[in-house]
Amino acid sequence: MKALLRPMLFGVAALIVVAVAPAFLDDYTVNILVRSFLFAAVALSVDVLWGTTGFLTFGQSAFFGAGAYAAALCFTRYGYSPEIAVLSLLAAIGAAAIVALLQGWLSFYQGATPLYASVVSLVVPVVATQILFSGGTFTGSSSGLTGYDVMDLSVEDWFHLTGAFLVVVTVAVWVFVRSDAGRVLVALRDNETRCAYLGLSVPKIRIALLVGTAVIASVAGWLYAGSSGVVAPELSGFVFGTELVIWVALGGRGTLIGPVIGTIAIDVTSAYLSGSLPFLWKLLLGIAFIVVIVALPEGLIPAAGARLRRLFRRPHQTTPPRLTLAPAVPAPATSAVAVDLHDVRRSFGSLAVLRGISFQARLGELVSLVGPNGAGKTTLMRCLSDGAERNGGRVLLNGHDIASLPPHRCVAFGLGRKFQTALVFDTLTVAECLRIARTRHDRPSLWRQADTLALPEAVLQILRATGLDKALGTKAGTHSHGQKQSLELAMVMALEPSVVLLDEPTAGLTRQERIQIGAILTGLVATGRLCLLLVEHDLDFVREISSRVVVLHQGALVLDGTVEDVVASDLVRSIYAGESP
Amino acid sequence: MNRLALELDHIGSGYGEARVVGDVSLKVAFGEVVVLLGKNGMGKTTLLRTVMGYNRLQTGRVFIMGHDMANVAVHQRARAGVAYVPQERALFQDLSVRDNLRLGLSTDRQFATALARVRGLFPFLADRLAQPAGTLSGGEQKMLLVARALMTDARLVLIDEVTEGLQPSVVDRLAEIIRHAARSEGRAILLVEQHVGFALSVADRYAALKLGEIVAMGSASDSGARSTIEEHLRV
Amino acid sequence: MTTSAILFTVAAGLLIVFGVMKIVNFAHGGFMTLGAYGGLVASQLGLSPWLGLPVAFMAGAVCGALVERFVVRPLYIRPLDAILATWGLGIIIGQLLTLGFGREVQFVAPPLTGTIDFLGEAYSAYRLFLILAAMAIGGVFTWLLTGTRLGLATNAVILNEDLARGLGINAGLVRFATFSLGSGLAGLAGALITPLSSVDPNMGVPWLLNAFMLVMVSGSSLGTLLAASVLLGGAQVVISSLFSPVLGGLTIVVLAALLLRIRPLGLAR
Repeated sequence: MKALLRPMLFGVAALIVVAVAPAFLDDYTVNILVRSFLFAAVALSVDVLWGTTGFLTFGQSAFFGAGAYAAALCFTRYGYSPEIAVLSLLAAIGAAAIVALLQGWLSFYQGATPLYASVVSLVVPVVATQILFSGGTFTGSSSGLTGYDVMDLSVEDWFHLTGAFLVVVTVAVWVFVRSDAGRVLVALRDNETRCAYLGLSVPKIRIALLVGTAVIASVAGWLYAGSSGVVAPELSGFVFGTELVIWVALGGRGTLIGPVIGTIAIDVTSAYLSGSLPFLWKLLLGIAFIVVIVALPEGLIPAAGARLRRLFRRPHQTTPPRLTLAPAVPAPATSAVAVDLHDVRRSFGSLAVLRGISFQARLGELVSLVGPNGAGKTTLMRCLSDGAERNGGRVLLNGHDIASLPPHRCVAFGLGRKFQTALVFDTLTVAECLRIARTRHDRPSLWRQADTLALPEAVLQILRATGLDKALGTKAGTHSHGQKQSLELAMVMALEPSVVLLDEPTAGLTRQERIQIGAILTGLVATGRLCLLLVEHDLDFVREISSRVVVLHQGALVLDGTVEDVVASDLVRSIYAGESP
Repeated sequence: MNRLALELDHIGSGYGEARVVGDVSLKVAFGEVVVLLGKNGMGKTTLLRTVMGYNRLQTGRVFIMGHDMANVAVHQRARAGVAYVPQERALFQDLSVRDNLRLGLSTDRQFATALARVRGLFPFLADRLAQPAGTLSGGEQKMLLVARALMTDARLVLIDEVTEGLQPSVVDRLAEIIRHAARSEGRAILLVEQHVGFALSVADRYAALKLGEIVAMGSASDSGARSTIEEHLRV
Repeated sequence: MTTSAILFTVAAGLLIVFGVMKIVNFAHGGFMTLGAYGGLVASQLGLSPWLGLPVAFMAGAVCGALVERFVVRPLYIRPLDAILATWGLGIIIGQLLTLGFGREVQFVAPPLTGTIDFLGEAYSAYRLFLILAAMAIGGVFTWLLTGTRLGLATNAVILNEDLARGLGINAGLVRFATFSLGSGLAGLAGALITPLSSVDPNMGVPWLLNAFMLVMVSGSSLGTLLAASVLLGGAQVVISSLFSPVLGGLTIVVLAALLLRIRPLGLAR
């Protein structure tokens, strides 16, 4: 509740300002502000996408235009009545949602690049404008629509309505982004791969968010059509789309309130200045934009007031959540086959990296994969955790064929994967990283920051052993390499996986930490709930903890046996000494 | 002229804030082959990359031919006479063997001389100039890498795990070539290896690296060198 | 064919910058407009229209060099921000031109008039010249990239920058040269187009978008760029004449977006 206090107070204060402001302002300014409020709401939606999740979009103008045209078309054809108004609002929301779904489907798929998503966001408004241009008298073509009946509201009423809309949307977005679920958005920006391997469907989340922000932009457009009485194709154009990006950049991306204030300030100033100095003003804006991008990537408003930033960014949780023990899952039937590989192949062009690997591993086993560089160990890990990776063969995880399923579906089959270089969410706190790892088990709240965090016993052990339990409120990015490795391991174990792939989990750890992590891992395996596959160069470590060792050499499995077998093998000695077997 | 081609003075380096190499001091003189031994992940490659300037120096100083390398960019080090043979896939796969060799020189004028040297080192390369480098076998690509470094006048040559995956006959030829480059041509060579036998057969001195630090150093011709290294590295 | 030729010329400069720097230069449209005005000024001064072309090239190249040094270089590690900054530059160039030349549309007389009969049909001589010019630019670029030492170094930087630096190639210099060259090419393209259309401060924008999509589709190969220009440019003309110019205008962006969805790496692979 405490977390909600500040947004609420801010919202109430802003509403009061909106209520009394018209008394102090002249009509012209009030008129301009109505427009600025709506533009600010769209800019806010751009900031959620760009500032928070890292998706640079030029396309929010299309949704604004869709909303505006939905209203204008309905009012032009059917006249104004409250029923028509409601219908047109629904049409506005529906149209925006459909376009957003389409755009999302195009932009976000497994392996899509951020640049491609931005490209698509450029295409959407271009197409939208052309459709409006070609609509003839129906859409009014290039001159747009005007002269339709709208609600009979005074300028002050519109000011109150749009002002209240902006305040409500801003507060709602603010609460959402700061909530536990909102942290997932930042995690997406920090590291999409890690998100996918924590079982989150990255495309789904991104598409849902795009639809949500499209609806905000569309409602703003609908209000614009009502308040101004004019709509034109430019409203949905990509020039407006890029202007939005400029406003957000100047206001301070990722701060939410910055773009809102920035948009209002810039739009009002340009309304006053563009009369007298139309081109010079745009020129100055362009120059300011470049200066900000090059020198002040955080934007003008945060740079101007570090205090403001502290107020509106999620503060470091001074009191991180209390850790509690999550109820343990019952142990499954022991010694079931957890990993079953059959003739797995992978080649890059003519280079065969894996030449038909087959083996099985059961729950309660700790299997180490060893072999010299280039033997295919990491490639094998990839083929086990992402169905799209291999060229041939079959992979079963706990009896489920992973076919060509993406990583988050493999996670649903009980997989957990730790990467060679620690992947954590640098700008989130340790506690937030762990909470995101628990998303599959405890759905995070859309509006609140929970004050407890339930974690399985193994995770608590890892945190205690490495001292991370004392640093829950610190940002993950500030930790040492070794601490990040431990945090990532804890995040993977928080998934409560039954098959765990660890790629060099101890690289960068001290001897002491290695021993502790080793003990925790063997303890986990001993409970019979876990099958662990380990890639490791440190043969001492392998010898201490493995129950079985698989040796890979040049993409083939050359030995599969106990630790003693492998250590005694001449083959392994010669491979490691660099001679050809 | 300074007799030392390379001097590392208590250097530490790594990736970002992570430290992979800690407090290493090492000297390589002209005409000398020094080998760095150690298992995977012990910081050998990072050390070479730091000498080349890819990785930022966290502590200490690097001197190449007597000059402090602080603020000297990678390409300037290369032009100052350092040749680097990286561990893997360091060829332009889509370009021809000829173009890959040309890129090792600063102007095309030296190409004829250089090509003659390549012919002396690995005759087969000179006959396959038009072939895309990516279509050579793994071992042939390694030889191309070595040829590209040794055909130049580079005075300091850094070689990373050149024997990995090569057949014994090629390994023998490489040992011969490396020894020749140091003893007859007077170059300084810093070699990174896991293969102890090969390392000791070409090197004058060895240094064993464990967890980013040098744990043993000595002359390669010592009768006890091999056992000392194996004890430290437990291969 | 003319459309394809112009598209190719505009996109070639964008492509080379994208290939080397992995940065999309949104100021490309601005440089193009700049070149167009360079041509305009040259013709207003009474110089031969042919002289307008090198003037336009130089105008683009010099601006490009300045931009690379002061705007793009500091942003090299933040590619998305670099895109935004070049977009801002495009705005600035547009506004400066508006301040200097006014908003109105202006025309330039083509250096070649009349028609030439070719295979029984009459073609405008200037259009034919444009096609030849595009082919010449394509030829010169192919030669630069495959036949010269500079091209080899550029290729090396495109393929593997780390490795290129290790071999003594000054990647920063290569980037600088490429950016200037690409910008100069934009200026040249602008000057080439003007006799066919008109000159106004925002003329670069629609071309930029189409060229950008073509570059995305082509990956980083000039050959595929040529194919894409001919294919998509042709599709644009066909759809424009069969259905409507509006639909035609959308052809390239929509087709390219769909193509990329199916083949994320573009046509090159």
